[in-house]
Amino acid sequence: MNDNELLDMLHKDPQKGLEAVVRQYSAYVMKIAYVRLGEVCTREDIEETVSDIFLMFYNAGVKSGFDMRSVRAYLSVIAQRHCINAFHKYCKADKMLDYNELENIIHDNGTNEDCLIDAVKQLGEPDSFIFIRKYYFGQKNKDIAKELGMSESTLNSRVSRGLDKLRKILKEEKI
Amino acid sequence: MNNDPVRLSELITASGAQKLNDEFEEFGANAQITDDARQRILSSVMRKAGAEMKETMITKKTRRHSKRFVGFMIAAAIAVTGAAGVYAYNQFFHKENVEHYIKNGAQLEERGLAANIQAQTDELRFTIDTLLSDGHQAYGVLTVEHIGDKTGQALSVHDYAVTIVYADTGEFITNNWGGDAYIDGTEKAGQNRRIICIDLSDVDTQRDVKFLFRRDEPTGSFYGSGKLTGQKDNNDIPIRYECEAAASFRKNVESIDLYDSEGRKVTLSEFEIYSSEVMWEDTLSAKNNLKLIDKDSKKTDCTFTDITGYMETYSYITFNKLVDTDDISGVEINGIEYLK
Repeated sequence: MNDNELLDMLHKDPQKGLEAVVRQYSAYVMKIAYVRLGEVCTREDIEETVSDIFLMFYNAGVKSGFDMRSVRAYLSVIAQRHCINAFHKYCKADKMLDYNELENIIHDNGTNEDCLIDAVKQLGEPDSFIFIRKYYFGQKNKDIAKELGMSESTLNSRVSRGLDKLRKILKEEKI
Repeated sequence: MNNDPVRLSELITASGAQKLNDEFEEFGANAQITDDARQRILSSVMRKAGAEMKETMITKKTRRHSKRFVGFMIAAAIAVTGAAGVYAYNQFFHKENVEHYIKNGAQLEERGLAANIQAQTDELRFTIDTLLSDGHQAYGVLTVEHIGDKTGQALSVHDYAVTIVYADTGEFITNNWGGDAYIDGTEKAGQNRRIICIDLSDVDTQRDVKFLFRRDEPTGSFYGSGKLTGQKDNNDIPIRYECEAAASFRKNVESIDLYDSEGRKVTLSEFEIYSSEVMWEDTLSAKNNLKLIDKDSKKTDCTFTDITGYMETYSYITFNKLVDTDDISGVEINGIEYLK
């Protein structure tokens, strides 16, 4: 079932639509949650977090009349925000997430959302994939390398070169 | 570190994120989840969203059971391998756990259906206290306990996992049977008890099976820990285990087939009403509108239902006590009569 069909179902019968969304995207949201919380939570807690994410999606959707173009994108954003909150909750502030290199570059350049997304897109594949995995979802280099079928050293150099390129693009955008 | 940089998660909004759909899709391309985990999440979401999907517990006093069931004294499980022993035909090791779910469970002891099959690791002991089968579903009680240094320590229902395979080939049957464990605060410390409820429609019940047990703590991998069997589950994930117990799903309780006016069949057994099609999607309604019809055609509300479920291909309502099918000539569900 694609996102258009899911959205159609959510409009016609929100409860059935929710069930279909959970069936379709539970593995995806579980992966997002596992990357962020796998080291600090039990599986039970992670599953609870995942079910909360779907509920937040549903409640937000009901409020907006499911006015969205992509279920996946909407879920990704909710999942990411909720998982970071959950991470801090479970760690009780003992182990706060560091700001990553990309967040620091964004801060230095006063970058807005559109500029950032355009810049990431300009990196091209597979670098845009790598950057979203690493900096948005927080996946570890070794796991990204494994899933993309490349060595960790190749991945590290792509990240390093990509950051330079991104810094340059954002600086030019700023000017 | 800079002062207060913006989090990427805050900077990227739902509307902007749509431009990153390809990247998000690529990230999720190999995401996997077991059917059981998906079902747990689904149940949890639907409950929180206020949509009734599954179970409610209703209890009532037990009633006497006919002695004729002694004729069905077929042990559910015969042997145990690995770090386990044979305890069939014995008093329940966890009688209170059995009677928590099957109020007149003492009958099972009389009938030799106290399986008491055990297997253990250095930290966990698994006991299949009883295992019943009506040919459609296997139904029983599993007790899991912390042992050794961990005796009495809190035990989450997600600290362990169970996989069931055929004994002869190791071929996969089910993971955790998709069942929730009810932690209601009356359990002993360091102990879980849960209903076993396994659909047998695609299972060859004439072949012996094995319950494979393992710890299921987060390991940084979805695949968990334990020895590999060399087989994979239905999600293509290698099957692992730390200890195992042999068992059987051969029919060992009585059942009768009942039909409505259009010839649609439900089966009434000692522990459930089962239909091999989706007969009642509204589970609460089916439960609340279930009547038993005795030999004199007198209808009585059934007040000892336990778990109701409807899956994509079958429906069932279990009882929290054994039912004497001899006393029953039919049932009425949502106003529809099913008779012998």
